[in-house]
Amino acid sequence: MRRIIASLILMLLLSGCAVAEPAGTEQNNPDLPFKERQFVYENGITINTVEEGSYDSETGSRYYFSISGMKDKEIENKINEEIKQNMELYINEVSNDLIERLEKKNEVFRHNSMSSNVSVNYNCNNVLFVSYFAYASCLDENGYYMDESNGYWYSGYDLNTGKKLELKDLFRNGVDYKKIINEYVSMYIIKNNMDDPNSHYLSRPFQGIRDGQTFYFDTSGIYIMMDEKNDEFIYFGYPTFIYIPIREIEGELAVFDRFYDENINIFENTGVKKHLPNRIAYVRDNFLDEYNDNSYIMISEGKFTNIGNGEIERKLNEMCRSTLDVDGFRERAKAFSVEHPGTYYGELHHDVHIFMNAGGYLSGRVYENSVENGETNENIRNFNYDLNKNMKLKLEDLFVEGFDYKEAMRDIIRRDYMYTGAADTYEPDQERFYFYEDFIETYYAYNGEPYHFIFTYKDLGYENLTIYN
Amino acid sequence: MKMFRNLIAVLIVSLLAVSCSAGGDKAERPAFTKENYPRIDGSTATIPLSEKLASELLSMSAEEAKEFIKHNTTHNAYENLIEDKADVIFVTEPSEDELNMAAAKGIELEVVPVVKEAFVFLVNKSNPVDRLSLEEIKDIYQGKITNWKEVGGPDKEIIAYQRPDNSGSQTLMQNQVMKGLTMAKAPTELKPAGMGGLIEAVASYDNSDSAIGYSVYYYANTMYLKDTVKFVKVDGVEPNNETIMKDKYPVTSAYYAVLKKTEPENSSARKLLKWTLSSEGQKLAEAAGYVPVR
Repeated sequence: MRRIIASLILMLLLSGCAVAEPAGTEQNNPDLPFKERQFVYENGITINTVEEGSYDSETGSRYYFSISGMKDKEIENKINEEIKQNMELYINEVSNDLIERLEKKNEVFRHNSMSSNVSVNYNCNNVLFVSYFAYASCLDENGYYMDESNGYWYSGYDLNTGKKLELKDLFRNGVDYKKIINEYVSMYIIKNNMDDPNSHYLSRPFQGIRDGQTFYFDTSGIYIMMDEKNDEFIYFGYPTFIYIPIREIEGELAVFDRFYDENINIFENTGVKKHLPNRIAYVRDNFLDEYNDNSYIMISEGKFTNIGNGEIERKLNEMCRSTLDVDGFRERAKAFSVEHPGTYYGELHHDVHIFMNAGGYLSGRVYENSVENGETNENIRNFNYDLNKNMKLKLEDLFVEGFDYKEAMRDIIRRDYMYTGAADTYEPDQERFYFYEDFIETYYAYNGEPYHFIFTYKDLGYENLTIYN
Repeated sequence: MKMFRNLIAVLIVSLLAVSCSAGGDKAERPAFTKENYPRIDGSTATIPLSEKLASELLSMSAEEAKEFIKHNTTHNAYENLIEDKADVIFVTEPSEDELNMAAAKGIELEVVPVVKEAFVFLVNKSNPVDRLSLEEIKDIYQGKITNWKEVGGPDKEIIAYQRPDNSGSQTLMQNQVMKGLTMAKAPTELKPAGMGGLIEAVASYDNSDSAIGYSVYYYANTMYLKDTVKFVKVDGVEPNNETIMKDKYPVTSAYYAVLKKTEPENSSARKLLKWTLSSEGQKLAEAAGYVPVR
């Protein structure tokens, strides 16, 4: 027993003495179970967008960006240089592809339009994913549109080193990521009837992802692009993308931790928190879109799943069901059309809008509206939950203690809104509001009229918000 | 209907006659050029077969064969054969419509199986049920059996997924399994339609532990599904290359070469068919992932 304890102490000492690994290794960043993760940190870089040229010029237009704010300027420059070079490479590629195709048909290339667009897909926890789109089209001899070529490309970078990321880098060590993806893609093929003897999507069975498979990543999951390497997928002028939701692979991902060390900031500024999507889904199960001679009905109902709290799920699902009397409305509209042929009777609307569904927070509203015989009835039911604490949120719960959010909102109303009179008496409704990742909309009845005010978190200060602290 | 029965009779005779005569272990390797190669069309599922044949017999690279071979899906291929825009087509068996279409033009079709195919039923790997009789499958899809406990499984509702109407798989299910029996209403789901609306569509197979679905063996067997789904043994027989080739698996079919009966004996279409049925041709088909006919 003493020997075991001695060995354990020795092991502990040895591990404590081991040379610290630089950020970006799994030793320093043990993978956290995804279920415990509510947010990541946006990288503290600035994305500077650049627009050059014009799409109808011979050289085309370029819309891209450069990054700034990294401590290591060499890596920053390397990435910026690569983005520009790639963009040029891809725009030439689509242009040459088009010329080549026309030459094969003995036709002449007449320039019409050429453009490229570079944008950010994911910019968190020291990882940057960039997407490129390039497009070229040409005209026939009479000046009419004739043909086009386009392409999509993606790059991911570890911002610690500037190294390009491969698919395997997203996953924990030892995970058979190819198997996981191949199984998912195969199921996707079956689910979408792509394995039909008369399939319009596949010319032969799926052959598995290839080495260097094109992909990109964002907080919602991995997108596998079936490009020319995946020649079993029939090309329709644009590639097939297969989206693997993060909930399908959550336990296997390392991308949030592998390149990130909370004690080392590789940027000049600190990035804000970014909430990761909840597992909660709102599945629509009843949809009515009915135009009649004198009326219109649009009912879209559904139910929440995966909320993780049966009581909240039940209450929410009850709240989200339509309370509108559709059958009665139909009868009344029909009777009205007999009495007043050709006259509009009214409409019914029911829908559920979800704004925040990330970081364990859920915010949305049920919108019901009926217009009958000139009379309008609007019924809005808001729902706001902190599912980490299993509690319903009031507006005041969104702010840290001691912060006078009402006064801050009044100042913003005075600054941004025409009806500044509302600011003096402003008392927002504690239940009737919704919030998103970067703003809140509140409701205030001023002089008997409904007013909706939007406040960005930037204006209110992220440090004053409980959902970011 | 009488006309259809007559056509079927002709078809069966053709099948028997041709499968006895067209094949053979050794067949002369036809000397094809791009110019004298028969005009080919077919189903999507037989594209790899056509490409392999062209690649082998025209000494083409896989890339060149891909460029050279164009299949326009089953029904269009039948139309092209009948309209004399194709010499031989590799397809699933002709429908009543397609037989009538040929008969209306005074054309008799010769239908020769070139590779075997089977219809397989998929369930989640965790589903304890691994065998069903064909009658049980029919009852499930008619809505007569609705719970897995009725077929030796857990007390759970069976979600019997179907394929979209008019798809190749759904037609095969109706023709080869249900054979005139009315299928229960398929599970549906709301899918996005144009202009932000939703439409009700046949629900996708979701591989839950209550689900059962179907596919053709050629696709299902060659894809990466081994750890996700399992094939149900039908009447105790597991679908595999051997049971399908030997017709032991009960829902076995084929992909066929179809040509006009009047096609001359020394035509390029017949030469291609003969070589496809030879041992060399069958080995080639097997290498492309198909089950040989012998």
